[in-house]
Amino acid sequence: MPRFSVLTTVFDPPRNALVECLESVRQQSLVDWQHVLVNDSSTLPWVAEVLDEAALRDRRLTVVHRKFNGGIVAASNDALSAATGELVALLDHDDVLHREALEVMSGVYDESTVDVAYSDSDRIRPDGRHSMPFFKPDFSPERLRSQNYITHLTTARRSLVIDVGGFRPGFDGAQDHDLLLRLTERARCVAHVPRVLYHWREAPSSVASDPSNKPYAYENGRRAIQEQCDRLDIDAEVERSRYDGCYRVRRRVVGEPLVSVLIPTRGSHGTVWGCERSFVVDAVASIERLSAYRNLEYVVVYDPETPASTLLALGRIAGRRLKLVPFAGEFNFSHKMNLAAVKSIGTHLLLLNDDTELIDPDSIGVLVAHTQMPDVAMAGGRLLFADGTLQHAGHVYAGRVDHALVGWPGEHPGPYRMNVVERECSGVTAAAAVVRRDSFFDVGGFCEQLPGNFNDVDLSLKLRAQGYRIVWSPFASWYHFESASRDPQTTDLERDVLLQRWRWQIECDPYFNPNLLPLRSDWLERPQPH
Amino acid sequence: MSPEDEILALREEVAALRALVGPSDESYAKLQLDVLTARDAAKGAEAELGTLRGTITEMSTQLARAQQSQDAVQRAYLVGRRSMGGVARRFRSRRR
Repeated sequence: MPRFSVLTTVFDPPRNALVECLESVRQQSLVDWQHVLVNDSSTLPWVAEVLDEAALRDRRLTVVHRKFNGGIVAASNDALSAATGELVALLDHDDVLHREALEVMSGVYDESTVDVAYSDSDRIRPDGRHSMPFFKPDFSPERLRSQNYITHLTTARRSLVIDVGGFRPGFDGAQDHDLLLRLTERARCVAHVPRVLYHWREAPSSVASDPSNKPYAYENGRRAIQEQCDRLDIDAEVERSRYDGCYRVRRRVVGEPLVSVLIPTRGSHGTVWGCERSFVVDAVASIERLSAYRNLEYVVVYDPETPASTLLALGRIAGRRLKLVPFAGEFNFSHKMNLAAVKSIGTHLLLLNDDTELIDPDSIGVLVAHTQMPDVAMAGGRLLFADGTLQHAGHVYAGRVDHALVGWPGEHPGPYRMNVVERECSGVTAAAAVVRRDSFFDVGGFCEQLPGNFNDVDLSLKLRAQGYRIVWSPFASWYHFESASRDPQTTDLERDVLLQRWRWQIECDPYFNPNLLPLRSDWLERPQPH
Repeated sequence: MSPEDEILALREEVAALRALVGPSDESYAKLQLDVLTARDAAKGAEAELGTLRGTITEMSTQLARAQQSQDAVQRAYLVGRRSMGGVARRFRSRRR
């Protein structure tokens, strides 16, 4: 079994917290480990005594006393230099490891391609009680570019940490985020252990207690992400979000590829915000009025009952960029969209329901920019009901198909701020999503055995089965007047088709977490055993 | 007739025709503005309702979480009471 070196830099911690930290490593169920403690010239005289006494009692401790205070980066690099284990784990001087943390994490490295592994974590409140468990998704590179969701417990092969240059000066406070970004770029496999193996103490001065405690850390975090974008040739500018610790990667679209907006319609009318509207006309009009992305063609597949006045109105709005495709057959969303895709010529397809209205002018550009990454085939946006509540923030496949946090306030940051960051998800709705044309045709487009429901789930899972990522962005948004235009009842036949194809995927969503209650989409934790 | 006179005559004719057929362009534009204002008001009112609905949805999750915590505390209490009951029985039997 590979040996762990636990790296801890120490600077003036609360005495009890340090003792608990040391004890949590000493009591590990795995007995072969090294705990490297670097005293970064603590001003409290007892710190050196406590560390030296602990090292005398247990030879597995390596204590290094720095002559001068060098800050977290210098001290962490000293710890790394003193480490001898094949693996390293990062532990803050006032935090606590679960008793089985090292044993469980070292088991993950039995898989020889795993280079980085992380676990779930929770917080220790000032009264000593545990709270706020953070049940994380499996590795989500887009989310890591938007927030350091991994934090603790981070472990990695020591050779890789050294290869990427260890901790970098100038990134104090965000040195772990910077390291994770560089590690995960190079790692063959990043594993996630869905167990709380790390307890993060809410000290009054810590980020766990108040994210505004280390303002410099967020600027350093922004620079770390910007540098990753530069390294990976992502043409983007990184901005800090109004939520501390969250960032926006503002990508630029390469060139201005033609985007085909595919809209199936029956020319339905309905009442929204007290006014009668022709859904498809207003959907197109909102894009023409607001969208900053202009290189568009509209392919509208219409049923025979569509009023001629609707088609005329569409022509007036979109002019020569409009292609009208008649469709006479039984209602089949998949068939209509496939037909629209065949008639289109754009390199990117915007799948759009007719009962939508664009909100954010940058939406189409944001989604196109994501799908210009070679490993991203589809990107979806945030959809709101007419009353501003959340309709779609990515799919969740936790025993059934759900929209994440449906019905929550549209502007709510969500659990762990998941609604204000870009992130991977298992699938997105086809009500408003951009998919690359080549990828769409590679997987055979929409499944026509699914005429009304789950066709987007099937498309998403087919794309992911090809190895593509699917990204959800809060910076692309539409209203979706779903309930006003359609009855979302699903049929047994559709459920059967979906489960025959994807039963396992519908039960095991990598971007959910087995510690969360299934058959729900609100990130409610399972009751924890005592 | 000079062009200016001709335009004047045409305008008078348009005014007469408008009076015959109903609302003028101006009143149509004004009506449209009224509709948009009313729509924005309805949208605002619905958004306020949505904020309330969303808050209720979020609070339902918090309530479910609180219920889970309460259940856990209750279970811990019952387990504690059972073990304390055993201690008390042993204590009583020793005193006898």
